[in-house]
Amino acid sequence: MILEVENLDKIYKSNGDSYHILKDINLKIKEGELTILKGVSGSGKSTLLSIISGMEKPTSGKVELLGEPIAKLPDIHISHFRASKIGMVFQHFNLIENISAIDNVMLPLVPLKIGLKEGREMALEALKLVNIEHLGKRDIKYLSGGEKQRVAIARAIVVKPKVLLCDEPTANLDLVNSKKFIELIERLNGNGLTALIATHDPIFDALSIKNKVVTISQGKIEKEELKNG
Amino acid sequence: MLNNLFLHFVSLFFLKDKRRYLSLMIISTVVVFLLSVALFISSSIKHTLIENLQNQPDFIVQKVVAGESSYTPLSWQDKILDIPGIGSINARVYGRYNLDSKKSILIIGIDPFDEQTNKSLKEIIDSIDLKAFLKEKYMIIGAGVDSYLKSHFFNDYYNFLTPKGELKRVKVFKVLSPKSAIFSNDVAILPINLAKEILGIKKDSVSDFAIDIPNSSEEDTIKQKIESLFFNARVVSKRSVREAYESLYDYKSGIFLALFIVVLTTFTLILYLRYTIATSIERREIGIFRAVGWSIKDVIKLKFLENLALVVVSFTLGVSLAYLYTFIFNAPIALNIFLDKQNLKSFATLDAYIEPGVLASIFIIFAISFLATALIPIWKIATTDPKEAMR
Repeated sequence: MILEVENLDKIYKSNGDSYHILKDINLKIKEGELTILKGVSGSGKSTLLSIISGMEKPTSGKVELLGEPIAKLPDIHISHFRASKIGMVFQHFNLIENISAIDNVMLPLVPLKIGLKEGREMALEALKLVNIEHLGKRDIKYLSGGEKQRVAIARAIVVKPKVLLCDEPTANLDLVNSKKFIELIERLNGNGLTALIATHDPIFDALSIKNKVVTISQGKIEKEELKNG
Repeated sequence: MLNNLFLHFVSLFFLKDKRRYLSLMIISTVVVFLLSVALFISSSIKHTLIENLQNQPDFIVQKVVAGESSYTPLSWQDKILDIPGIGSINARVYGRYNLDSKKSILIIGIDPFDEQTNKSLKEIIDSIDLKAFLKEKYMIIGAGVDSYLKSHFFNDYYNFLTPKGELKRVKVFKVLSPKSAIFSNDVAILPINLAKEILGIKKDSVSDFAIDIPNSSEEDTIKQKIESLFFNARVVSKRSVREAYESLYDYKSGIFLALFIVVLTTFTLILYLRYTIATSIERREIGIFRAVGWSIKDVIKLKFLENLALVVVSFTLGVSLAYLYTFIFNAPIALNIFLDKQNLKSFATLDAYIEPGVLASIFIIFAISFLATALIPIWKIATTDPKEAMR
């Protein structure tokens, strides 16, 4: 099992009020599985992804990713773990605008102490996988939304992670680019990459490969179903 | 260890933000420049004065009347010389002469044939042709006196008015180099009897006596003996003059240091505001670093090196500009604050001397406050949730 989430709760406190964002979440994902976490905005999908990636701590419950109790690791270990084992794609891409695509892709290689020459080679390889190696030297601010999305994916896969986590990856893409993204994910998953995609975009209903759909509503998992199985 | 990929990002982010860093660098350079100028001038003047003090007599003895120094009877000379332990005694004649209601000069009378003439004047005397100097009524003047005389159309002489109402026309024999202007700017050196006439000093009186004592351990005893010999004598030791110089220039640089602290505090506040308010882009960047796996230590290391580069560049520029301003351009404006009230235009030049430790102090004061102000907010951002920081 790549990911195991047990009895997970997340409560935010603000101005004396409590907001129960995730309620008793239980989720298991096997190696190589493609999981779609479906739910409307505000249902708690992004928070669950943040907790799984170690960027946020749960209020209670257990999260084990690749056998590591991710919520209990100290910062230095969790950062290294995230850099080496997890690839993340964000809704707003979260790229650094004034530097080139290749420099953005090389960012996760810094904590892994990879040298500049090897880092460049790895980044070029990742850009090649998402078919934009010709845009490597261009600054992010000069790229289109679809191109930025590909750079974000290249950055997520540059370290050859065990798990790819995507948060609303098609929210800022048009239909053509959304379809291209799905093709890319299918290809990467076909190569054995485990992926968890949080989305409310119905385009993911059209996935042609085997996938698991987990529906989340008001912080609770409502149902899990296998498709194309 | 820093690998070359990390250093690549340090230079990349430093250059990416070059405009922002440039404005910070200009402010930082000005701060370092101001502090350096203040400390360079004070340490240079203090050094020059104390160096010169080595050539001064161990004691000065003068007569005091009603608490004020008065002309000293020449008859004291032999009595003082009888005290065991005294190496030499030199009668000195000097006094201020008012050129007009605001400007005055220091007249020093010398006896070129007196072997006891003090060492600093001896250097001047050795460099002149005594025969020619004593042939007529001549004087050797400082650069400030020369400038004043020329501006009042006395190109090579001046008419001094004695207390008896006589005019004494004294020709300029030589103008002293501006290099010695810290001491000689407002000085006119005349033969001793001519100086006495102009200053109204009786023939059997002098301004004071300069005394040398070969064995410094006897200084206190000799001081007591002189004071017991003459109830109205004031004895000033070289040690106390040295202490006065040190405290004077420490005090002046202290005022500058206090002003600098005010400037530094303001500067720190500006920096703090710059890092806490105007950093939405930087906040987002730090959030991205953290999201892709950088540890808090990695982020701090990157920002530390970026800011350290800024500190080093500002420090080097500030200190170099201060060196140029102080020692090459002779610190226009600032020098007058450090020198005593100047009644003549100053031609003083500064020796390029920097006290050991001054540079290190400037760097430590500046670098610590700068880096702390820059890095504390960075650390705060780096320790928040990356998701929060990226918003």
